[in-house]
Amino acid sequence: MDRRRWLIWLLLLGLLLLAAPLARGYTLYVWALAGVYVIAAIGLNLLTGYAGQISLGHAGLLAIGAYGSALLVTKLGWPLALSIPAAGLLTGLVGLVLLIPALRLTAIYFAIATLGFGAAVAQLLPNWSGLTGGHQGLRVPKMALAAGSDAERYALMALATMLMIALAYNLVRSHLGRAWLAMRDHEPAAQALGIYPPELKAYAFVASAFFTGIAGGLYAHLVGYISPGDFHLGISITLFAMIAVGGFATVPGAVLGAVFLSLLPHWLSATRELSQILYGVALVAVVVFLPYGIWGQLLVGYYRLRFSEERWAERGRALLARLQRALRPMATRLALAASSNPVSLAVEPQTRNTKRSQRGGGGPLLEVEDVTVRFGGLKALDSVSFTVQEGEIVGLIGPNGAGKTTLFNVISRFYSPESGRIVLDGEDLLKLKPHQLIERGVVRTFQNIGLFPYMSVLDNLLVGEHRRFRSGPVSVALGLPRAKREERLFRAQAEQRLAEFGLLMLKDAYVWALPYGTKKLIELLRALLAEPRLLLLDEPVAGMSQEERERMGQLIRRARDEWGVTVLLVEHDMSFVMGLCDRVVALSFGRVIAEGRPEEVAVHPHVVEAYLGEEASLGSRA
Amino acid sequence: MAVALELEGVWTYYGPIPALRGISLRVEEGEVMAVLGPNGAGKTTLLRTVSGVLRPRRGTIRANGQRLDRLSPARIVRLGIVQVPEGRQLFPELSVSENLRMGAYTRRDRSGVHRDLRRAFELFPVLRERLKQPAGTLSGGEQQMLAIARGLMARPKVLLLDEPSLGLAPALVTQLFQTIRELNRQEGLTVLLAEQNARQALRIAHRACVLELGRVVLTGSAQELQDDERVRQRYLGQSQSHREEVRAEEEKS
Amino acid sequence: MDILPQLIVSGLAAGSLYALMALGLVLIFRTTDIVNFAHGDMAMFSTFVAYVLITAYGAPFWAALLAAVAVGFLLGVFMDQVVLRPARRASVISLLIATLGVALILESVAGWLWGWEPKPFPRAVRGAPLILGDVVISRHSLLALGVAVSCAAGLFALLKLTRLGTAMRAVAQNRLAAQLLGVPVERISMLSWGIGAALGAIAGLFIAPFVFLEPAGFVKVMLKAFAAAVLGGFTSLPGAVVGGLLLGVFDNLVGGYLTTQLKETLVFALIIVVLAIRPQGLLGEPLHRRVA
Repeated sequence: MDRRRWLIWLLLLGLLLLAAPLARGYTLYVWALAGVYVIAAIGLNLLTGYAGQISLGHAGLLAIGAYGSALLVTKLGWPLALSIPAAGLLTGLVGLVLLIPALRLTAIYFAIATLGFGAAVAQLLPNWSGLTGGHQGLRVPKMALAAGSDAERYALMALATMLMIALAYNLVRSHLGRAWLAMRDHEPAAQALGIYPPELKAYAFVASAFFTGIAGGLYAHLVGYISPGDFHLGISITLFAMIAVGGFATVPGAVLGAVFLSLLPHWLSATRELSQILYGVALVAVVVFLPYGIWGQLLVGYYRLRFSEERWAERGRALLARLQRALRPMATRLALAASSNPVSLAVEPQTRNTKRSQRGGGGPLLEVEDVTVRFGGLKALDSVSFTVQEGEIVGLIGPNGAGKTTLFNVISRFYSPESGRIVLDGEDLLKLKPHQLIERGVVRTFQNIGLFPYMSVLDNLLVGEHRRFRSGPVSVALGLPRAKREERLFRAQAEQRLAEFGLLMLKDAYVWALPYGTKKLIELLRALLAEPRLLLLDEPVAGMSQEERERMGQLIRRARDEWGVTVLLVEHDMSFVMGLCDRVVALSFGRVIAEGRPEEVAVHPHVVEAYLGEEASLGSRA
Repeated sequence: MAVALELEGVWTYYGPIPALRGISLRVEEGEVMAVLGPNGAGKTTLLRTVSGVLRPRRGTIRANGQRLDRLSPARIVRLGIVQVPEGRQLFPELSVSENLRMGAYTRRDRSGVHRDLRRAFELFPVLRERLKQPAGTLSGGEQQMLAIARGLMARPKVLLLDEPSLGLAPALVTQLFQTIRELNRQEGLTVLLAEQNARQALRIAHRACVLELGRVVLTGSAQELQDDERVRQRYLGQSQSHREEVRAEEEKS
Repeated sequence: MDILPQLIVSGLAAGSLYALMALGLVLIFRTTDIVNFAHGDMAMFSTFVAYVLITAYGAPFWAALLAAVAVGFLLGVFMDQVVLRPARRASVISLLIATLGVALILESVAGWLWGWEPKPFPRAVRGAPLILGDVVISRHSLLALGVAVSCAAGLFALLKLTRLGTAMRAVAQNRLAAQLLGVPVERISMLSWGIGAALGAIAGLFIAPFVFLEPAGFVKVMLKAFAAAVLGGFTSLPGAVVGGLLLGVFDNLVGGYLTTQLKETLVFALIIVVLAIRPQGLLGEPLHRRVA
């Protein structure tokens, strides 16, 4: 596999180089320039497409790379082979500075701030004339192998571009690339899986700036002359147009968009006006007709063909059968237990208890003490206290707006309570950040499904392993053996687990193409693979069919019985809660109004009043 | 009785995902019809499709013989089919009075609007006290009252109510449903009521249907549904077997 | 002589124009949730139409202003109904791309029709500047200030006092609810775009004499308007006015006391500082973080 990929790379490079003698000098120059755009567009795509941070100021970074390398060469006499990477690193540092506003601002504010950044750089360049040569610009030595012909520069650019594409591929196919996409599409879910957004965003900013800086350095030594006019706002927008047209969050998309848009004006031998109008029309057309860009649309079409919803519905049924088979031993045991006692459900707590005592657990795992949360004047939670014992399945019920999801968000640390304590096995959870919970064995699911739609099922599972990866961005980008080995190992592990559940056939399916019920199942599976001690399920069966509900119930019970997972779940479906939970905590208007065994809580007058309406319950009427 | 609203084989999609899968439904003039079902069953989608905010991909919707499914939401309101959406959806920075006036946006009869404003204050006296206050500062119950009063300002013939009990204390819910019943009895207002709180809804409804995964799985009179085992089990919160179990427990003790 | 009052007064005059542009941006953003990256270029284009009317046809300033307002309004309507309507449900990033696309088209069409070189734009009124104590203010600036203030007042009156204005505010606060009450939201968003762009055109006409008129030159003006809107919170119309005035004064103080060369850079720094302290801007509402 790896060897084949190498061959493809070499073949592509060979083709690019072989084409050189066939073309005129100017054509070669234009293609070499396209290489600059390719690298810069990939850089922008790392930030905007993958990490979801819109930048309209990348021309500023391009300028820093270009001037950086130019000055290192002209003032300090560095060789190009050193000055260009150094310029890339310098630009990477500047990228780190841009991270600071990005951590505080929402996407659109940040986009505006980057616009300001671009303008600021464009203004600094001519004014810092002692260094930059002002409006006159700088004359820079061109890159050369021997004679310094266009063909040579073309060959060097081809090599550099291929190299940078390879680096980009290594990055986006690693745990970092997955984490970026995960953060972009569902930041809370990414955090809950152990991703620390500031850290990952920092990598994205540095990587993006590094690529763009390299592109800037190459530009300077390709053209041989740079001036502030080369880096105006229009360039930032052109780069943005390239990834929008080619496709966000794909490497081939950025390459395609950059080559296409940078060559288009030359092909049409267009004037500045015409080429700009074309860019503009292209942008508008992309939004209306190709929202995923050219490459993105191709991908979408391919997946539509390969994984249509009907097909998945079919596969879903097959899947169901397999799961049923996998669960059969479990079901038989339950049935046996049931048949030995006339009152079917009443026996269950006993079996559970024996299991629990076998594990020697049974102490409190989660203690919620006096937790109060206020939104504005409204008390969303009002001194809520309860405990969850190790090995229990506890249901949290209450009418809409009772504070159930708020409580989940406090436990998983997205909200901080005004007062109160949350203790997990003796440790104060309130001291932790959301991404640290998974290490403590607290894993949650989300009401609206916390999967990442534009990633495959396997990649979704791998995001759940993010915290176990050890290799850093540099070794990942360079494709060091250690990083590759790690990736292979975790990938194989995840595949094996999918196989255990009979889900291996789903591994390459993009999540957005899957039916709703399957998504819910996969999310639960991802949570289970993180080997949780405490599993927080937010409406695990909402919107599911009866059959799917039953399956979900079996899976949750199996998780508890066989893997010893403690479960706290929020659910509206009362029969599901009653059938599954050992204990139920009822909330209403932010207060605990009842707590106890399901059948007790169901007839508790407060619950009947709050949850089911004020009329006497059917139970007491009967 | 005349048909106030009729849906036939309505399919509504969110992107590639069907949320309504061939819904057929009749609401008679002057009745309260309840739509029950769990979260995500398609109740809200159904009401939004009727209001024209969502377009059905297949099927027809008629009111008094007129096709609704190609009309703009504004035209549908003008035909007297008005929705009070889920979660109140007030204009939080507009005053109570401005919110009410927005309810009468489609109307030109000043004196009629004035009369209806007075009637709204009779129904919900608390709104008169809060007239100049921004709607966002009202309590949850007051907000729901304002939302309904605002909907009534459009002079509906058919009122679509989406989950009016959401987040309200039980006593308030009872009071609210009482008001809805009165409006229906006294003014012949037709009501299509989407509710999760099946017990409350069935108490004021004449007929009801149950939605599951975008399909109507059950239709009948309110009494029939109240007596239906599946409905009891799923939506009234307690199952037969469960009750037996509780009784068994009680007998034991 | 103390130059401070002078700097403040001319800062206010310039700031009122930034405020006017920012008002348009915020109006559009509030009703349609779109940040109009073509705002500067739409204003530039309208101003160019006025320029042609004045220089080639000898039209009086006021006639040209009316024409520019009409062109601005139509550009806004075009943007909303032709470009954005087919993409109503698209993501924030897609809509941003679409407005950028229109910006590029407008800029290059202007360059193509009227050339890229900067052109001096005539002032609205001539005559000796007025002197009030230490402060000298040109008649043009005074008029600009007056026009900006009355436009802002007119906009507030429209929004506060008329049924249409109430409907516009209603759509801004809750599009779905407005739709369900029979408010024609499409027409309202079209009107917001039209009015927003027309405000930009008015501002453009008064700014042009200060900055020269060139197709690519309004980017800086737009950045100022963005800065004003961001300072004010981007969701608040009074915030846009406050932000614009503050920015104009700050800009002038920097130019007067520190350096004229790095004005933009320092303005950018100011925004970053303000946002770092108050991410929601001066008068904006705090952005609640949503989970799940």
